[in-house]
Amino acid sequence: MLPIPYAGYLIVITLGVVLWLAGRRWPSVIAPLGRITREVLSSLPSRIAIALIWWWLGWHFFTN
Amino acid sequence: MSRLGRLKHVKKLLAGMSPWIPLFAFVCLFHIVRGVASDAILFGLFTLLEIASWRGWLPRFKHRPNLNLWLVRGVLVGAGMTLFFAQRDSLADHILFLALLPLAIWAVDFKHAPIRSPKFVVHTRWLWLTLALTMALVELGAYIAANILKDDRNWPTVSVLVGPVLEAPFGRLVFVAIWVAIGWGMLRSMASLRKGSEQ
Repeated sequence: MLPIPYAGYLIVITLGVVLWLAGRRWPSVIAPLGRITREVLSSLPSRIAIALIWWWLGWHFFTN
Repeated sequence: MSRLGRLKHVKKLLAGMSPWIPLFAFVCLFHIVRGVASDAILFGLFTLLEIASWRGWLPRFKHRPNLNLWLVRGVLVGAGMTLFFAQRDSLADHILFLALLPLAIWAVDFKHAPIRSPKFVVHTRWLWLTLALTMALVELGAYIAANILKDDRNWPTVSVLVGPVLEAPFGRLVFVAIWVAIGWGMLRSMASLRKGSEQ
């Protein structure tokens, strides 16, 4: 049997892909990821936060 | 001051607080508990940056960046190539990230009125937020279980899984491509927002 965390990660990633595809297929029901990103990035604190998280992901995996 | 007065004062103080502040503060505390000083310091700084942005204490850059998309693409491709070809945790990686941090903060500094989202967009945002929180909880659960059971083979965190992948050239190529693509998409969205705010 698949260990619990593996199953958890796989389920979340699969649901993420489904949500992304649903946004592309039915953009008036499920907002496409590009639209969500654009709206989240319209506020300065969110822009700073997203840029910092992106930077940290690279830092964490390549320098630790 | 009465209890109600104090409550009103706190409410006024926290009005319009960015939700990123408690999130970053929590991650900072988590890294303090884990004993990882570098990440605790980084998330402490991120929390302070978010507080400064919320309170309007951040100094505005005199020259707002006029993002040249080709230059940005060049920087991102250069960063991707450095991460792919340089050894992990090398001096080149450290210099690259230390140079990218101020550039990233500089690139996000522009004015734009927050967009009011229709209901279905708000609902979709909640769905993405739920997925992100679920991922964080699964990872937190794996981290706690791995520490209690001394078994990170059956209870791996994302870092434990990704670490070995990055040692293989193909795995590293895929990870770098995803990381660069996220940066690319983020900057493209910001370029379109900036264009809209200038019109």
